[in-house]
Amino acid sequence: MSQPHDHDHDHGPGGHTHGPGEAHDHDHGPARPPTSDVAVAAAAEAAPAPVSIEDAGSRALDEALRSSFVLVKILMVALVAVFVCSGMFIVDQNEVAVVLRFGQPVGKGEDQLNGPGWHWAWPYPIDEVVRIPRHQVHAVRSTVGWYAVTPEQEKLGKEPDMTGSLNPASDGYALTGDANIMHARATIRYRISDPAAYVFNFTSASNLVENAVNEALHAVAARFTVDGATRTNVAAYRAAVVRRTIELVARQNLGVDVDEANSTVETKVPRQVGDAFKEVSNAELDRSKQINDAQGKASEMVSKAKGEASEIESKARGVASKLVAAARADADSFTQQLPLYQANPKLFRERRFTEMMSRALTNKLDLFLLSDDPDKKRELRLLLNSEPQKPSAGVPGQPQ
Amino acid sequence: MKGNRLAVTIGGILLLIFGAVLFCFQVRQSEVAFVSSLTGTSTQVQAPGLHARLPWPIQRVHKFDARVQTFEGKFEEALTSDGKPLMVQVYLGWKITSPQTFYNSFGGSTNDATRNLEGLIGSAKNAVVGKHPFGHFVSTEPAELKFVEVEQEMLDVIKSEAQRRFGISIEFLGIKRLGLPESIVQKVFERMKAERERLVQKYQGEGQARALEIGAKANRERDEILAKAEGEATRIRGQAEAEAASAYRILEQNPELHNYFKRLDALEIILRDRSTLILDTKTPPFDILKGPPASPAPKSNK
Repeated sequence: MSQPHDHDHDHGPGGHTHGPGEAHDHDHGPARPPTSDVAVAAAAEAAPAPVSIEDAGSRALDEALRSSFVLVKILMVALVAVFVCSGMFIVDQNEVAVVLRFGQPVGKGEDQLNGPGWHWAWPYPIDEVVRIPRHQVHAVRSTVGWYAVTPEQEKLGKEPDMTGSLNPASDGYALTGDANIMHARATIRYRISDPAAYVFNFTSASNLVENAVNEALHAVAARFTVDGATRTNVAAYRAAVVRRTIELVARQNLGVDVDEANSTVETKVPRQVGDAFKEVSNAELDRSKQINDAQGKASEMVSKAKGEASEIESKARGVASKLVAAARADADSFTQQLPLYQANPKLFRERRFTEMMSRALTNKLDLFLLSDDPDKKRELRLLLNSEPQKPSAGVPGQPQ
Repeated sequence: MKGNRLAVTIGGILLLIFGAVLFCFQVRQSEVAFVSSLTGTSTQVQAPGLHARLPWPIQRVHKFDARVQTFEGKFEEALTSDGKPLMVQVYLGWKITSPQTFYNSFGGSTNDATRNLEGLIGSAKNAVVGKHPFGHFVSTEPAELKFVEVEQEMLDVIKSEAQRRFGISIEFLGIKRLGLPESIVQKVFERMKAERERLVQKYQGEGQARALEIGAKANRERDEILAKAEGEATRIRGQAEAEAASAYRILEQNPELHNYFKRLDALEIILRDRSTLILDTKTPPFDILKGPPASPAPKSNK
């Protein structure tokens, strides 16, 4: 087959060079007998050394076969090379790959995970490469306990319209331990820790993580009070939900690590009773304000009393020290004057009386002196001031 | 000769591939399979890898997904043992463990399987919820709450039946939603509001009561402090008086003189202001007005 082709080609270009000038040749080309190709070839071979036509034919065939086999060989080597190269694959930074040989993972445990880089596997159907994202953080969001709200409303911070009740078909909620109703939702983030289990053991491990969160939201709400989960103890509720989720995914061997720090849990009282809850917080604020005020007043009162007390005591101390000092002074002057008195009591008394009188008479006194002459009888009339004044005109201590 | 060898090799490889296709089958890591033969016997193949078989139609291979699949039941009402309506939705993870049974039941259709599971879990749910009072589902008392136990109970009820009838293993079961019928929700809201109002009143009362209590306590404390101070003052004064008394003991040496001093002081104080004094001329120092001292010792009456 290849031999005649070669000849065709050889002739082809020649025909072309002559083509434009000699239309005659072209017209004659097709008119040649169909066997002429071989005949010409044989003639060309035969021209230098005349050999029999059969010999020449088998030699040509042999040559043709040989060269075609070379071609087939090259082709096959190329095919094998392509086949082998098709088994090369690259694993990205954030993924691992597992090679399944006839459906069975190659290697055991951590060994079956092929890290980032070039790898080789047999082409299908012998091997199958399964890529699994690994370090990527996945997030599942549980809204089974939240009322129906569209992402647009969420983005704008708008609340959807509400009715007096919650429609079980669209509005989710959780029942709390005190048989009340609250909304709860969570976003749990996780990484795949066991890629093989995550991919080969579950049709949708992420769906199971989400359902674990759903379960946790309700299971934990069932033991919290609505007040505890929405106001006073939100952190504890959050922690318990995350803990329960971790427990569930571990028990179900989902092969994931929950990222506790980046997971969020949100709770809210139903909007239908929101106002009532607000009033309670206001009342609570009022209560603590009242108590604070009372405590402020009380501490003020007590500190004032303490001041008064120390004043009373210091006053008493002042009085006391005065008293003692006066007594000591009295006693001292008494001790000093006693010898003088004892020396001459009468003289001492008179001298002291006179001294006193002279001191007293420097005051503004109305002084009347009456003669004590028994012969002269006098009448003394006293017009006592009707105006109430300090008791005066007394002469009680007057020696008579 | 060369060409022959090549042809033989290629032919051999082709034959091998053909034979492999006819006599072998793969079970993937995530699959489980069984081989059924014309004679009616069937063999389960659990391990992943390459397995031998006889070509069709002598033997047929049936493969199934062996991974855990998620199934979610309906969110529907059930009555608790104390007659309260409760809406419960459960989810479960199941997988095919006995492919022959699964095939016989559903012919490999997962949809049929979930439909049947639906019925199974529905009746199990009703039965288990009906055995527990409302307090087992939600309660602030840890001893009363049986949430997890209820889940386990439902699992126990369906597990063996699912295995026996459907050839599937229920790996786990959880309550994914718990709720109340819509009309009850409204009642709960009313109750919650009433509860809140009670709380408001309670807090208001508490605030006043606490304030009064604090005030009373402060009063008491103030009285105590003042009383203590008065006591202390009295003690101080008493002590001072005792000290003064001990000082005055000296005066006892001559009471007469002491008395005299006292009277003298009293008189002086009286005469200090706006007094009118009427004296006879005998009173010193006016006695000297009557003349030169007659006697060296003027008489002073007592």
